[in-house]
Amino acid sequence: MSEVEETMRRIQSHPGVVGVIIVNAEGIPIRTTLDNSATTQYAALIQQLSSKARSAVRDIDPQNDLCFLRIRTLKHEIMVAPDKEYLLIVVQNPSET
Amino acid sequence: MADIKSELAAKRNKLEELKRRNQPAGPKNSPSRDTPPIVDPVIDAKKKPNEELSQKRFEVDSLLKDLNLPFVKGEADTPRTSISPSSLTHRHKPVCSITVLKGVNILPRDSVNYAKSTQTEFTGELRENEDGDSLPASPIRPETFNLEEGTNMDDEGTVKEEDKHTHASGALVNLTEEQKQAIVSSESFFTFFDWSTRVMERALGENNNRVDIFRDYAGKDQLDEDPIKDKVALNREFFDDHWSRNRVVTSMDWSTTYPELLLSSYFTNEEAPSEPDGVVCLWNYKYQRESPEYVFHWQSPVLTAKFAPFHPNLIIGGCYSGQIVMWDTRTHKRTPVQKTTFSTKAHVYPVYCLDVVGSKNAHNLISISKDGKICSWSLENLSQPQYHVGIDSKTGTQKPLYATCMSFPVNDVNRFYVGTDEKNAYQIVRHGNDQGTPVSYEGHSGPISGIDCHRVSSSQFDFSSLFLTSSADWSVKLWNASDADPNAGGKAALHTFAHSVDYVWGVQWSPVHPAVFASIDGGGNLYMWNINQDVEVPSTKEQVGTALNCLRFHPEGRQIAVGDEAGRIHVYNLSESHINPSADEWVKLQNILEDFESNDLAQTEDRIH
Repeated sequence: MSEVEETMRRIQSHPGVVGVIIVNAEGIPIRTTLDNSATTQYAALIQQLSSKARSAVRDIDPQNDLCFLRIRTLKHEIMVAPDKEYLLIVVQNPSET
Repeated sequence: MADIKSELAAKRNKLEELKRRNQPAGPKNSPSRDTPPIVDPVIDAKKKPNEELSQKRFEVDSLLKDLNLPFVKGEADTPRTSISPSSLTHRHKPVCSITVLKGVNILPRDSVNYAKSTQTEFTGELRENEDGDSLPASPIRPETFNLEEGTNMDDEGTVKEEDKHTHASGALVNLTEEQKQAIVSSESFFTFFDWSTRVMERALGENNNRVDIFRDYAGKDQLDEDPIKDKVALNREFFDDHWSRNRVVTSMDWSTTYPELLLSSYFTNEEAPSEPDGVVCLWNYKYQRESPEYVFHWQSPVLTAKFAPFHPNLIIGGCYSGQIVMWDTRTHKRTPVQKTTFSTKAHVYPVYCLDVVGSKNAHNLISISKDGKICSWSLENLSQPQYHVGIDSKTGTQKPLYATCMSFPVNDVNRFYVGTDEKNAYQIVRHGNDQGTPVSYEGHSGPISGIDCHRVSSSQFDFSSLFLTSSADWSVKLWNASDADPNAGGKAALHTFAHSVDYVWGVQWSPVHPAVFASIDGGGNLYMWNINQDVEVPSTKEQVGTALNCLRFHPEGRQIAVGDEAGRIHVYNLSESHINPSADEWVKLQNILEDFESNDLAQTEDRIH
């Protein structure tokens, strides 16, 4: 328990990191460092995007699987580590790093 | 036509007769049914309308059934307010509720169309291919998450249906703290979390590592180059605020399987008595990750830790309590998977020296405790040593050897060298006749803190008998083991490197250059020596910081890691002259060694005359 919080805090303390969210397969946030509305939005949208990306990868090669997803935007970089049951989402501001 | 009409009329009369016969049965049965008695007067009042209506009602009902409208049943369950069609048909009673039913039924159908139109307006082209009846969650609109609650739809019947949907999933949205806690503490979550955070931290570190894939080189200035010759440059610092603060770095080891992994062991943190006494961290040199890859701990301070060379996942540690413990990176536990027991056969004194010797198929763990007991272990079974022997000093008395450090020569599993607290170094032979009488090397005037055998021999020159010792007498001494004659007493050192003005806490040969070694002292200095260049002064001196306690060359010789007393590990890049030996370095070293020996001879001759 404390280890989870500790690790979240450590990731959050990286320069430029805006927020860390852990989401389950339904897109429901389990742990977050962002505010409620941003969390819900990121959780729902990124979960759908990630499952879409995964299905794309698996359509190309059924033996393949999605491991990591980085979305570089003008303002942020969203990094997603997807797993079978959960997602780890880290939003960071690359200009600050 | 008239025939048909008369036929129809006859049939109609029959039907009416039949229904009149059936009617008395209704009121009789009703008390036995579950429906409340209040319903009956209502039904009676509604009996009057034409019987044909009941037939129409059947048709409507069958139509409804065909349409599969879900709420018909739902409303049927609610008593009194409206009389459900199903219950009515069941009892074959005339009804006046037809209009109500129609109203209920038609509204949803209309509103379905409404919903379709509004949704297409909202989401645009994506919707067009879908049929209007089903409204699956669009990949664009997170409608199931109440984001647009209240703004989207508030008038029609289907809106209620939609709301039901959202509420159904809305219950999922708000996981209670207990549910979240249950998820967080589940094994599958831990497996996910452990791995994904590892990856994420590496990815984050990658960004900090000046590696910018979006860098535009057009028009950029060239980076300045050529570092100063012989200079060491700080590359990385490994420090964890929680695990390594205020802890002396007691030992370090680079993994041979994964060259980017550095193992470090730590002593007790006096300021945090509630934390485990002994800590072992695994650092990753490849990724710019600030925190350790793995953390292991144990209740006793860890004095030395090593990777098991033929088992890439195993880490062995020697503890202050005398225990030898083994951690496994494959488990999620931070505590050891195996540990030795306290017995008269095993160690009961602090274990400062630990090494794994042998080949892939036949290797042993050799350990020496502070009381001089040597144990040999099988890595598969740490419950009992394979053999153990107490070392005595060469005088034959029972005074134990206070072993502080040891080193095995390259490709030798039988002979090794031990440095002790009582100023002498000893050569120990594990198997053979002279087991009990170690050869001693006397010359230091303080406890020996580090010992290391030469690693880089060539086909022509064999330097494997050379070893270095560092001592609290501020000096480093070079010895040639093969010169030592057990009968002639202790052998003097070949050369003394006395440049430090503090305790020298460690020494190690370069793994790639035959004439280069490094030493560290209590003043926080790292010295790089090149014997071929100068035997009096080091080629480089780097002020690292606080007192240094241990050092370790990377197996490829390009970096050196030094650990200090405050729990900080500094990794330095070495200069080219320390990494790439020229072809004649071995010859040069041989000549210098011969010089040393002749000087030595001359000195002894001087002494004799």
